[in-house]
Amino acid sequence: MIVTILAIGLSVVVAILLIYTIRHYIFTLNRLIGRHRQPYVDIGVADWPLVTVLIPAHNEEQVIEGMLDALLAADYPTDRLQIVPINDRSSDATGAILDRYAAEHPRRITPYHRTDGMPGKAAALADASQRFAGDIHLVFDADYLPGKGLLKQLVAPFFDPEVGAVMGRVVPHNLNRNLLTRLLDLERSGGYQVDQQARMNLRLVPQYGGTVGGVRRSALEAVGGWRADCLAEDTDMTFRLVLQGWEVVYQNRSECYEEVPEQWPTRIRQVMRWTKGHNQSLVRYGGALLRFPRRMPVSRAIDGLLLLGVFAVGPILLFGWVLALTLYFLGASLLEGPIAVLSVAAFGTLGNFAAFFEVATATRLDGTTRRVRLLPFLAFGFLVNLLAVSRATASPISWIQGSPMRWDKTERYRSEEANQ
Amino acid sequence: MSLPNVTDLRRRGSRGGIISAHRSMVGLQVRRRRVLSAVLLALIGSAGAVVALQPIGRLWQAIYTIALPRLGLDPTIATRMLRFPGLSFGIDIPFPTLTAHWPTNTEMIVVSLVSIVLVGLTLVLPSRVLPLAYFVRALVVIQVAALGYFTFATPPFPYELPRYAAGFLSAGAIFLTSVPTVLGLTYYLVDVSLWRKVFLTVLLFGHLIVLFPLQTLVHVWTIHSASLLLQPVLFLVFGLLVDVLVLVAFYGWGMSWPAARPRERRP
Repeated sequence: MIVTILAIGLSVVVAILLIYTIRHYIFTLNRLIGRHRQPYVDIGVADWPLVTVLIPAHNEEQVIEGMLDALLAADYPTDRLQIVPINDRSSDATGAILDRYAAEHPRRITPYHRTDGMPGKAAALADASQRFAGDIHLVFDADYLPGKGLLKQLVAPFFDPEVGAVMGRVVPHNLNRNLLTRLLDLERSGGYQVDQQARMNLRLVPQYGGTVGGVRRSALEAVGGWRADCLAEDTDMTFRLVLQGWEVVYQNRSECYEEVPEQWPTRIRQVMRWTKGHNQSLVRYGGALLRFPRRMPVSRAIDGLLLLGVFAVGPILLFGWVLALTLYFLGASLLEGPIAVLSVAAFGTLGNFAAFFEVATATRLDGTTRRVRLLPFLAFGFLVNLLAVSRATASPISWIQGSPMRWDKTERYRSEEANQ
Repeated sequence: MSLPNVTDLRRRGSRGGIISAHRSMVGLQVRRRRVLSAVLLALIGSAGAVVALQPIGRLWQAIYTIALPRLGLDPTIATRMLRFPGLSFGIDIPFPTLTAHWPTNTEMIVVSLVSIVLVGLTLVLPSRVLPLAYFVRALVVIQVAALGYFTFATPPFPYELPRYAAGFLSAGAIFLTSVPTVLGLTYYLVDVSLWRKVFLTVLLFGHLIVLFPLQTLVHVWTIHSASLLLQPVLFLVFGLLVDVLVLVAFYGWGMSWPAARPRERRP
């Protein structure tokens, strides 16, 4: 009897993993041979809207100058561009650096210093977005390095009035530092080049990722602005927009360079934060999607649910291994099949960490194929992710209305020489 | 004189060179011939693998016949019939018939101590090898579960060693036959030349054909020598997971090979 119950449990786990694997496979196939869909891009002459670029920054003295220099070099009309770095109670030289840049570029950079209120990126955005009047609010992390034409590329999709948010592609610039950065580069490739683009092609739910993208202010106001009590304000915003009928679009062409974590503990903290935030969104919006809103295609609602559930796959997979172990000791037969599925899943069907064939396809499309030889090492990254996600899922803040009470900031590694 | 292809002209620069598409927009040109070759390669590969299992079984038997006496082990080999649904014939899978003993108290204590030492080592490892530390801890967790089982359970163990070996090799045989299908899902579709696809498939087959019996031999020898206590960790971590790792490694290598014709990428 117990064996039967556990075997059913393991079958359910295997079924869930297969659903995600099939989903990744459909995305891969679509990206390889499907019709490419992209929003407006490469518009040269237009009546460009007023854009506010928000850069939440908490103790970002190592990287903020690079970000501001890159934005100052952008080809967006200067009279239509407000650069608003948000100094959220930094205790390092971030505030002073911002003031210096504001003095040097008085009409272009308007720093916003936060000294009180709730800490965290979501709260900083909620606060700042009410004070600046841009039609489009673009958001970047402080360590990002946007190219000269990126702002126009990210704003162009908003000429379509149905578009509420735009997301560009994130590309690591410090990929050659060690195994971790190389693995993260592979993950990012799979996640953006294949996963996000396929969701765009298939009219599912491309995710606004909160770092290389933006939101239309009227859409922002329509859904009630940024929620300050989020750990993943990007996922939260994506689903609020989608549920209200706005389009969230992915622009694969708009690449922006980021600094990925170079140390495993930093990476673990990042994954745990994402997990908690994502799970919050699952609790908040999973029910609404399950009711299959009338205005939303069923395929989009299903994909939205699967997207919200991606971080739950980690604990489910872990549970699967525990069930397999228990069944093994209870003498159950025919375990090789489920073990094979659990083994394949160990090469990445968790979270936004793409499956191995998705990563390989992405690197092939990118034209930088030698790095894909690291593919088997994804299992190591996956093991760390699996435990980090499971730890975060076990935390109550992951599921209840947890307010971030502090900045859970990702450590930076850029040296002064690199900035120069 | 034939007219130049309009699609090709569209990608020509003013000096006649090809303007390559940005990586964000490239995809693969769907050519009927390639899709057909992918399907055929997968079908022929899988069918060929099923047909080849009989001689592969004989090869595995030869490996055991040579290796078992050299390891000082009982060379007796049995066979188990593996049947595929829809096929009238079965395949004999040879396996060693060595048995393993229930763990003794001394073995339990030694494995417990080794587990404690391993966990201790993971605590002093530098953070840059954290995945290795996690991997070792995962091994220890499974080993501790096995220690708990053998402390409270009574013989016989549900998986006797010959049954375990036969089961693993049968799974290996099924795995071998599924390799072309797995490769067919994406690898056979990409713009790598046909001979390279065949080459990778043969190479992967060759590797797995040798790996499965040697892997089983290592498992059997270890469990026979060190008791059933190590069987769970070998089954769960060093069993099919290793073979999937090999498949992924070869797949990654194959995906890194250059395109047959760079111009085939569609903008």
